[in-house]
Amino acid sequence: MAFLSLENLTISFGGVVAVHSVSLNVNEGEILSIIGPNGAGKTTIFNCISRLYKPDSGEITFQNRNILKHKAHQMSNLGIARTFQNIELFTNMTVIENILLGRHIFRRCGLLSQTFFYGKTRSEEIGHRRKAEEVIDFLDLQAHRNKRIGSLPYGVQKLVELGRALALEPKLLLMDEVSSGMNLEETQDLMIWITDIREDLGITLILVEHDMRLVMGVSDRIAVLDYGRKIAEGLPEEIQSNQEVIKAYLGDSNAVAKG
Amino acid sequence: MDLRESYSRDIRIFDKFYKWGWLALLIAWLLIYSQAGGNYAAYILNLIFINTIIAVGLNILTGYTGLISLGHAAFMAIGAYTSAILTVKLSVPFWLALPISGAMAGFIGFVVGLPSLRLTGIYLALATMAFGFIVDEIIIQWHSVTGGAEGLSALPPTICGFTFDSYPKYFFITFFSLALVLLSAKNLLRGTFGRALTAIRDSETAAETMGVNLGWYKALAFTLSAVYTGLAGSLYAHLILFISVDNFTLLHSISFIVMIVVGGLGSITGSVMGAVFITMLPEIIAFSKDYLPAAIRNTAGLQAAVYGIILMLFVILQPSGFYGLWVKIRNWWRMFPL
Amino acid sequence: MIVQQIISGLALGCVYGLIALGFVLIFKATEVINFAQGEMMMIGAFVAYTLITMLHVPFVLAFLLTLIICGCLGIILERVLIRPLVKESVVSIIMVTIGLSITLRAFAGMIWSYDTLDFPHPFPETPVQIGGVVMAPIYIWVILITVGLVLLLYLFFKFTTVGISLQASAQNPLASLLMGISVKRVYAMTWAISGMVGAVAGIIVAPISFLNCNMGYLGLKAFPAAVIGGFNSIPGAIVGGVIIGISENLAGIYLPLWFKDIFAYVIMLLVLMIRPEGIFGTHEQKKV
Repeated sequence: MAFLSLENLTISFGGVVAVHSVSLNVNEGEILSIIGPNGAGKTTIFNCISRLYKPDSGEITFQNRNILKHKAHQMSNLGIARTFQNIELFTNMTVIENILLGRHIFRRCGLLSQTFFYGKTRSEEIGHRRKAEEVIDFLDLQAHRNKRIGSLPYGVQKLVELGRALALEPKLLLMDEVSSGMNLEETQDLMIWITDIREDLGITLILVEHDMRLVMGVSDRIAVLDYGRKIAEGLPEEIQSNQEVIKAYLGDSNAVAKG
Repeated sequence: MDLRESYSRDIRIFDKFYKWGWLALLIAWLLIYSQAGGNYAAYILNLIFINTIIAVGLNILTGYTGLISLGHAAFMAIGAYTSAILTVKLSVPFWLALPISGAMAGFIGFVVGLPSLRLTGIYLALATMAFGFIVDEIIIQWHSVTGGAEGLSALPPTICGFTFDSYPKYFFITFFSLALVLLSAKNLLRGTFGRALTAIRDSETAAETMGVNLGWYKALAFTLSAVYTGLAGSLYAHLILFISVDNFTLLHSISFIVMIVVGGLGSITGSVMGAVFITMLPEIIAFSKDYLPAAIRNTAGLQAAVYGIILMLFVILQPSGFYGLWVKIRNWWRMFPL
Repeated sequence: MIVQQIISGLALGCVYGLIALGFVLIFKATEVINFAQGEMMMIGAFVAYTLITMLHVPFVLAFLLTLIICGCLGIILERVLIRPLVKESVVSIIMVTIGLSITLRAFAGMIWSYDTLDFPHPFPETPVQIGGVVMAPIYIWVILITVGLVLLLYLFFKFTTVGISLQASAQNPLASLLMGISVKRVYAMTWAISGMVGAVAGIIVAPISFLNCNMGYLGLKAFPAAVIGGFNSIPGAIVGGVIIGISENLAGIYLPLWFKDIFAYVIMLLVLMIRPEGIFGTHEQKKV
């Protein structure tokens, strides 16, 4: 049984089929990239997995659990974390506070004990902060630690989102175009972090990406979507030479050329 | 940069130790002024404390969680009437009636809040406004219990045989209550709970993905806010000793909003500032009347007009309120090249 | 008796509907709610009153002048209060318009006093008899004017260039921006139209209700109307208003009298709990 499996996933919006009967398996510990032209339905798949959208039909199973039976706020408890294409950070909070939100599912103290903020609550809060500092150190965010999100450049905000997701200690991480808005150097750092996340933290990754160099550099396998359908799936080398994929990208041939 | 000494430093009530000194000085001054400053000064202090409790309560909902309520006067009314009815008609001691009033308001807040929390923005504002009207009407119609439109008397509280029958004496009750409210609010807001609320305000989608149960946390924010406001209602009833629906109208709900906007949304210090300012505003207006042109000096609408204009000015020009202004000045002072 | 109650309820409902229309026009275009719409109505009534009784302007001319004045007021308010908050949260805009409503009411009290004034009756007052039912002609006029106004708005949105561009901009601001429609102008226009609709409501309600600086509270009753009809539906506003007007009057007959005052709010709460988008409204899913 696969770690995560999508079976015949279909969802449409107002008559437009965004994802059409897509089946996909993800193995534990692998890095899978989903690529495809704009509007191919990549982010929609993420939104289905994190239960923000309800698919019209199909099954999603994660570690033998049917996750369609769970609500969006329970996904993090199951061990699924994600980042967003258009950054969904808590803009009026600081970097550390944003990352601390990733510790929300690990809270153990009730409201009453939080009211007194003593003993257990205190040590729990200190534990959360220690963990958040580890994430900050991991992603080299020390310099931004106490800054408000609104004042940070786009690339750093993307990293904070990644950090927030890592603080959840997920088993599966969905990364939605983390490299967008990053310069060459930042993207290279990101490639190292992505491999570190898998090697050191043992997290399975699904990437939605446009940067082909990144995709080809880190992915174990790649799935290609076009107009909501999966047109190819395989090793990076196979995808690069796949006729169907090249055809889908024809209008966007630069993207392949870059890779 | 930004080397940490310890994790516990980040979660202190005050970031710098010397601020405790300022707080001690403030408390000392309040104690002296309330006891020696005359009856009226003590009355105003009591009122400021009660309003501060409401402002903290409403700020948890509006400032921290981003939900607007136009019905908070109703929660205050529920607290006030519960307390008055319990103490006068059922002879329940005040020290018990006070927390029951808060619990009552909180309970109703939870019951009303849970279904309406699917609503956001304007819809929630309208639902809470309707709730306020309905509560007022129930109070008027439920004559046998609430005294109807004529109102209801309350008694000065007695604790352990000591009757707090003057404003300076009553000061100790409001002061103690406010201290508890501020401390508990600060504790709740600096940890997991407070962060979850702020997260909901900033991005519901992300909060949900991080595991925050939106409906449940909104309901909790609503309940907590109602509890504080209910406590304030009880304290208010035993301060002015006579309550009627005229004390808890839509305009009161709006004045609470003015308090937190003027003070600073999403800040406890701001809540205090706003409550002080709005409670003192009638005094300020009365004082400045001598300098105003005769045409508007004595019109009944003067105070309302000032309220309205202040609310608009702050939202447009100084949305972070007095607290934001204070932070700006402090930072400017620190950066001052000397 | 019941027929009369229904007709007077219908007339009052038309007024609620017109105020609600003011909310809806603005909400559709800008996703903003104007808590001061009831006060716009009050200002309209007072301006017409001043023109007619103090400056002795003939009624029809006064009516038109009032529309122009209130339209301009709408434009000014949008420019001064709403435009600076374009990127702010809904909460800020709710607060600003609440501040506006308090301020307008207070200023109206200062200018026109707090007394209840007698609005000159523009229509004949002899009761008429239709199909065995006796009633004051003013009610019929109110209904006719409302129907006429809604028809006029319909034609405006359907057939004039300005109207079509307003609708386009409400449905897709970005696309219409690309088509060269200025969003700022659209917002200003919307506030102007909403101010005019408010003024009409004020002029027709003042003779049947009362003329007082607190008459803006009538606007609060229009919220249930807008909610029931659906906050983004123009016909919904009128239908919602009529539902509130009639059911309120019927509640006055069949239920305890006190219930009449809060009946509208009870209905509104129920609608909000069960179907927040109202009868005609549509619900949109947020995109992430």
